[in-house]
Amino acid sequence: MTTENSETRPSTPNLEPLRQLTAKDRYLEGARAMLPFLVSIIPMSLAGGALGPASGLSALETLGLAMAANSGTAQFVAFSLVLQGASLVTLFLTTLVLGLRMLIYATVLREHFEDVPRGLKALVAFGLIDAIFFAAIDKLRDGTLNSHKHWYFLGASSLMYGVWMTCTAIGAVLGSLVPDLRSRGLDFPMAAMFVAMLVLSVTSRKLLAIAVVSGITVLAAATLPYNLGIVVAVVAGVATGGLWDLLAGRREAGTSSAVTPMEEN
Amino acid sequence: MSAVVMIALVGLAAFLPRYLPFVVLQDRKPSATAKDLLGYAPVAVLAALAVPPVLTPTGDGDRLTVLGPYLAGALVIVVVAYTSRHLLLSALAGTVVFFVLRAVMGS
Repeated sequence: MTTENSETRPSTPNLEPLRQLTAKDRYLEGARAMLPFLVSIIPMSLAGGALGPASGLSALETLGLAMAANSGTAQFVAFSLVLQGASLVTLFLTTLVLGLRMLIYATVLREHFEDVPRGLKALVAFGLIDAIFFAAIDKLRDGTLNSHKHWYFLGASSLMYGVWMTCTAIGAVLGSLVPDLRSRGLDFPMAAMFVAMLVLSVTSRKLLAIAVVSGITVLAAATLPYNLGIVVAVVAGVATGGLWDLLAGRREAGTSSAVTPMEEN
Repeated sequence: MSAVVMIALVGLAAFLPRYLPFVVLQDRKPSATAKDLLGYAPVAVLAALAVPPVLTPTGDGDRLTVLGPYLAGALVIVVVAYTSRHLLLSALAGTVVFFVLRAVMGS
């Protein structure tokens, strides 16, 4: 608690006419901003927890992977790669690629955290997820989130992380109670999740082209060792997107990705 | 593979992109092109993971299943997801179809 005492400071002429918000206010504000997301993450994380044992993981390994990834997508992808017996290199590279959009979030956010101690920065970074970024970025831009910014982030991420991991643990335990999930065809729910996520993220023709090229490449490269075909397919898909932009000649890229709404240019 | 190593690697791969921009290259901004390319990666990853189990349930990479529970379930997901824009609903619908077909076909 390094910055608890701002109530004594004269307030800047801003949108906070009554009083300065304390760190605790910000923490609760951040947590409250996440409440609408609970409706979707509770069933998702319960299901996600059950997918771990279906991939041949123990309940503890399932929870460990979920806690390490702190991303539904990265978690499901990790399960799927374990199920396929992928190598550690493929697992590492694929998780890294999935997290690359976080590079952009963190780059946009860092100017707001320059005076925050490193340890807290690391905590903010660890808890960073799409929902929190998009909830906070507008408030940072319009100046309503102007003090104790890291407490806002920590409030949001501790609620989301706590709920996600609790439900993942419950799902994993329930999933591991059912013996031999895998041979009952329970690998399909995972594939189902990917197909659904794919359909929902293909929002333009360019993204469709990327998905098609990636999908064809992964089939063609299925014989590569260590499941490296996935990495090759991702590179091919991203290259397709780059080529599309080049051929289109102008920069209308980005309309695609989740990253767009906050771009500065 | 060792579970601890696996979890540690996933944790590292998840944490580095989130944390590095806060502490290194403070004065550098990624180019617009780089941002675009980074934005394409998730769709490419999802496609690379969604396609093989649907078209090659056996996983051997050289047999396309033209019609079976996997492909039929996936088609249902595509339709429901496209119309409803709802992740869990569409995944669930496809999964139900998958298990019903499997039960019917007795496989």
